[in-house]
Amino acid sequence: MPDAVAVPPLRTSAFKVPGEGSSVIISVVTVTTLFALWFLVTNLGWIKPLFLPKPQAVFEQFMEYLTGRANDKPLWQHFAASMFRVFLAFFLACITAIPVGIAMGMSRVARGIFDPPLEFYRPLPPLAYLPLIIIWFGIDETPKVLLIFLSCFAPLALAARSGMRSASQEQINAAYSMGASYAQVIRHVILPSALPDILIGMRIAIGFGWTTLVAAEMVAANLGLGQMVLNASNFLRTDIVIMGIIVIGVVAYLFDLLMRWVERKLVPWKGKM
Amino acid sequence: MKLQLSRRDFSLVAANFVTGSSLFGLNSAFAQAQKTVNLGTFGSIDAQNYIRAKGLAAKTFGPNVKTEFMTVRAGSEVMSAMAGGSLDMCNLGSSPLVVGYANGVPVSLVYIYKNIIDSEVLVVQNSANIKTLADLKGKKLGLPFNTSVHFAAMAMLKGAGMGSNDVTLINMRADQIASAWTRREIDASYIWVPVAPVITADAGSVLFKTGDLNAKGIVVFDAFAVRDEFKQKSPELVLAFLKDFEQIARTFKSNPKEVVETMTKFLGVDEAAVMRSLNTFYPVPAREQMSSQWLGKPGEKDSAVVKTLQTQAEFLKDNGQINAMPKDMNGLVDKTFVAQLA
Repeated sequence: MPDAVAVPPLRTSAFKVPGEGSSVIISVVTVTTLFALWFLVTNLGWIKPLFLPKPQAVFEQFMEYLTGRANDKPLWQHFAASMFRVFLAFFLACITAIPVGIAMGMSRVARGIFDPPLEFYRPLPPLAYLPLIIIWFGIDETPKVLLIFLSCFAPLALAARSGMRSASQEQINAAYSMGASYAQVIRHVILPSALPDILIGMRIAIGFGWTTLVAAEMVAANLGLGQMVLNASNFLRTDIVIMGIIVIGVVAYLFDLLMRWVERKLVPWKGKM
Repeated sequence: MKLQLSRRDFSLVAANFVTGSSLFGLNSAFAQAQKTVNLGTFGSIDAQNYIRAKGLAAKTFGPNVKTEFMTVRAGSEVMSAMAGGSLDMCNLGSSPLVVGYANGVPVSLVYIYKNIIDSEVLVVQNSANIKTLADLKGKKLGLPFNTSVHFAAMAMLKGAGMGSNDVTLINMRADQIASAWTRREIDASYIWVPVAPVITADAGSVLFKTGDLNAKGIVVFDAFAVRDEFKQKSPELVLAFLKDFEQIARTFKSNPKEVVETMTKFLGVDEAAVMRSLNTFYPVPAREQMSSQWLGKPGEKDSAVVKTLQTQAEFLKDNGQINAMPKDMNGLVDKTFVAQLA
């Protein structure tokens, strides 16, 4: 029915699906209001710049860092160092945690092996085991990447594991009754239905990666967005702190948008099985 | 425990939240009504911890004052806490104090807490082959940024004709230094007691002491800072602490045995560590602080302390760590308490 797509669906009923409709305009209004509020309270001098600097001051810091005029390394170097750490860790987590999660979903032996350590370390705050990581792995890039890797690993493995259960029994039995082998059932039924969960796991994992960035860069870093924020906070430079926070937030958000796009392209069958 | 919040309580909390009063120090005005002292300590062998160990707070401040001890780890933490109004008095290095003052944190330096001579030193790895300061070129030097050791290290490098680009400075917290040292990942560290003796014992040697800077006319000291609002509301509590501090400082020097006994038990550290801290502790009596070598008499401008603070501010400005020089460094120093003590 190609025609049906072009015409907006007729409203045939007064009943609404919870949460239907677009929220873009509301989001834009929210963000604009927050910005306006920020601009207002700082420019009217209600709040001292030490606590909340003016948006102009933050933007000026951003420009100074961008052009390298700031008395620090230019922004792109901080940015590149952090991106390298987060994405290397994320990549390593993807190629290890997804197979581990799949294995946990497929075999009771793998589940028995990986479940206790995973569930044990997953809720630990990274700052708690940071001293151990420093003693074991030193202060160069390894501990930083490892810390982010660990924070990405658990959500990814758990998402992959739970995704392996999302194929319905009927689908599996149907494949079997049509003569599929065990391997074929895994490859053609279980894995495709697990893929949406894995992609969500990736989105959550990269989010955890960004949240661990500052903790990771507490370890003797001279470069990195997290380090930049920490160092600025030592010097009570709230403007640089806010600038760094916004940069990290925007980068993380853009990456999340990219992941959502990938999700739409890669698993169009999500929610339609 | 069940948390029961009436609607009225809730709206009060919410109102507090919305106006941000908890963040911006208004609520400390309420706290003052029942006189609470938020006393900071670095959690080491200092007078504040001694008061805590001996349970002397009620004797120092009087029975109607509630004393809250806050353990901080760095001078920059002291400044943020004072800016937020959650810390009233604490000692800290002069350099983070200047940073705080330059950024408009309402604090005053009321007393010289201690002179830093050999409690902060440059330790080098024996294996790194560093015989003179010039050998530091291209080496990795680990230290916590925006602290008195950071300032001392920069002044030391400048004295040896080097800049911050000749040495790889690595920003590390004091607790990270010992493990990085053991793994030989840093060639040198400028750090304080108790970390310095630990890494010196582990194949290191002391190359430079902060006291060596005196020859260049630079005095590095720990200051005792008080939040301005607290100082105006409860000057008697500031004075009470300083009085006891002078007493305790004398005890630290005259009767170390008793102090060692108290502090080893309280902190769970060994006697040698406490002894080392006591041996590198140099209090400056109030009478001496009145001389122009230190704070100077009330009304006297540009005493040695003010000049040192000015030097530090210039150094911080050159390194881009503060935006602008404070207008008048004399405004940071409040000599009224020292004058009453002497």
